[in-house]
Order: sequence, then C-alpha cells, then structure tokens
Amino acid sequence: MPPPRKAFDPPSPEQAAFLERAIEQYGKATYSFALRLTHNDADARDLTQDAFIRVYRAWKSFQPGTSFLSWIYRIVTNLHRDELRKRKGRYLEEIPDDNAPQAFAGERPLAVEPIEELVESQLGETVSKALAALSPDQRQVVVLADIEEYSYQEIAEIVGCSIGTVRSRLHRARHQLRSLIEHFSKTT
Amino acid sequence: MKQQHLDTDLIIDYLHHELAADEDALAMQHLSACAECRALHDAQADLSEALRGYARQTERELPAGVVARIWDVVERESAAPSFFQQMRGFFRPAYALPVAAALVAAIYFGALPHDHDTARIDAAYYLEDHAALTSTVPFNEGTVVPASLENEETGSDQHWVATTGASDIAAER
Repeated sequence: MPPPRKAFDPPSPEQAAFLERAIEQYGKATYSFALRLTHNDADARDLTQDAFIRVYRAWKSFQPGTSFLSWIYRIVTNLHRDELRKRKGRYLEEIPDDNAPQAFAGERPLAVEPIEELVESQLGETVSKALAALSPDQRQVVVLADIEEYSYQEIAEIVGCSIGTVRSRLHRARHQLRSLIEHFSKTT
Repeated sequence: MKQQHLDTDLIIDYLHHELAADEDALAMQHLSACAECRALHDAQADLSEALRGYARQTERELPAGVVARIWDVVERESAAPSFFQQMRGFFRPAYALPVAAALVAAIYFGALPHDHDTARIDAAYYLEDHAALTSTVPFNEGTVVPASLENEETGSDQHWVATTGASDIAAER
C-alpha cells in the first residue's frame, strides 16, 4: 500500500474528479455494504466517509481495468476490522447456546424448514437479526458471497485470507444462519 | 454403485459455483435424481434468496451529510497554508513555551545586573601563597635558606627527632 498522501500536497483536479466520480457511482453500494457489516447507521457513515477519504489519498494506486468496487470493499473491510480491534469485543455478541449450529455443522440436518414461508417483511427483520448475531468475520463472508455475489477467490482477496478460510467461514456461517433464522422466526 | 448423498457443504459450494467441473456435473446429476438432496439444495437456495431479499430492502442512498463531510476533509487536507497559518504554527504552545522559558533564563542570567556578590577568591592569594611556600622549601634552586635550618640536611620533622635524640644520649652519659 502506498504511503498516505502528505498534507498540503498541491491538490490535483484529476484527483478531485476521481473522488467525485467514485462517490457518484459507488457511494450507495459502499454505504449499503458498510451498513450490512456494521448493522449501525452511525458506524456505516463513518466507515463510508473514511473509505472515500482513503480512496482520495490513494487514488493513484487504483489500477484501471480492475474492479473499483472490490477495491473499496477491501478498504471498508480493513477499516471495519481496525475499528473492531480498537473497540475490542463491543461487536462480538454472544450467541445463545440453543442456537449453536456447531452441533450439526457439516452434517445433514434432520428436517428442513422452508424459509419462504415467512412473510417478506418479517423475513427481512429475521435475516437482519440473524446476520447481526454472526461474528464479524462470518458476516463479511456471507455478505460478500451471497449479497455481493463474489467468488471465493475474490472474497479471499478482499478480506485478506485464504480461499479455504473463506469456504469454511461461509459453511459455518450458513449453518448458523439457518439455525438463527429458525430461532428468531419462532420468537417473533 | 449407488451414489452417496451430497454433503451440505458441497451443496453450498455448488450453489456458489465453486466446484470443479467434474464435481459440479456429478452434483447436478445427483440432485436431479435424489429428492432428499434436492430438498437440502432448495433450503440453501432459499437462504441465499432470503439474504438477497434482505439486501434489496436495506439498500440505502449515501446520505448527503456523509458526502459533505468527505469533501470537508478533502478540502481541509488539500488547502495550502497561508503565510499567516505557517507563522501561527510557531506560536503554538509546544513551540512558544520552551522559547519563552529560554529567553527568560537568558535575560535573567546574562543581562540583568546582580545585586548580591558571589563568593570569589582572588588569584593574587594563590600567587602569594605559592611564593611563601617555595621560599621555605630547602635546597630549592634560588631560594634563601632560613638561618634556623642552616645546619640541617633534612626537613623540619627529622630535625626535631635528631635534636631530641642528641639530648637523650647526652642525658644518659
């Protein structure tokens, strides 16, 4: 990663134009992504702001022809990880024991309850709660794989881990999600 | 040979198009024939659809306030400092306080007249003392030997011992 831009470097019109275009085209996607990662509007706003400022400072390191969205998602992911480290544990919510999916992780569940039976509005709330209950690492992978539809390879590059880690995190997260959705749909 | 049921993890990879071509073909073939595995597959596909539905519901425009804050930071960073701003930097407490302290110390110790006398020893005292000592050291070149020490070959202490010894011998005789 290039060193941060020195303060008081003469501003370049191309740099400002680059930022303007980036905000216009990818602001919504970046903010939505940050919201799904953080589950908190204030944090998502801060994360989005910091990510675009990083984009502005490091604009020359962006390689034309590559995915800008992957680049800014990587920045958001790193900033989010740094923030979590600073807060240390604030977002590491405990999952109730009765929702522990590890008991059947990798095995065939005995019964499959269809998710589509839930009303859409109720489903949104249930999925939101279930996603919020995942660990930040698992949430990142689920959001990138199932919502943003990135490949395991791309997720590994964005998150900064191996494909094997992405695969195992996604498997575990999905087992956990199914269990949590069932739990929350019964309680609501 | 009867084909084994598909593992849930394998179904997840199949749904994400992450299987190798031969595995993918086998999984597809099995799913078309096995109702049990197809139910598992559909449940996982429903989960993916539920996540995408949730994503559609939570799609948000970037708030104008965030955009304004981004440009504020950028403008602040890219604004070149004026001469006044540069000078103002030198008057920050981090610079100004040590400089002021050094100036006060310099004025106090260097420029102001002192009312009190400091203890001084005149250099002439050492010269006089030195002259007095060298003049009484015997056999020193150019010195005048005092009359009381004219017949003595050694220092004053030896002179005292020799004299005492001579009187003792005389008394014994």
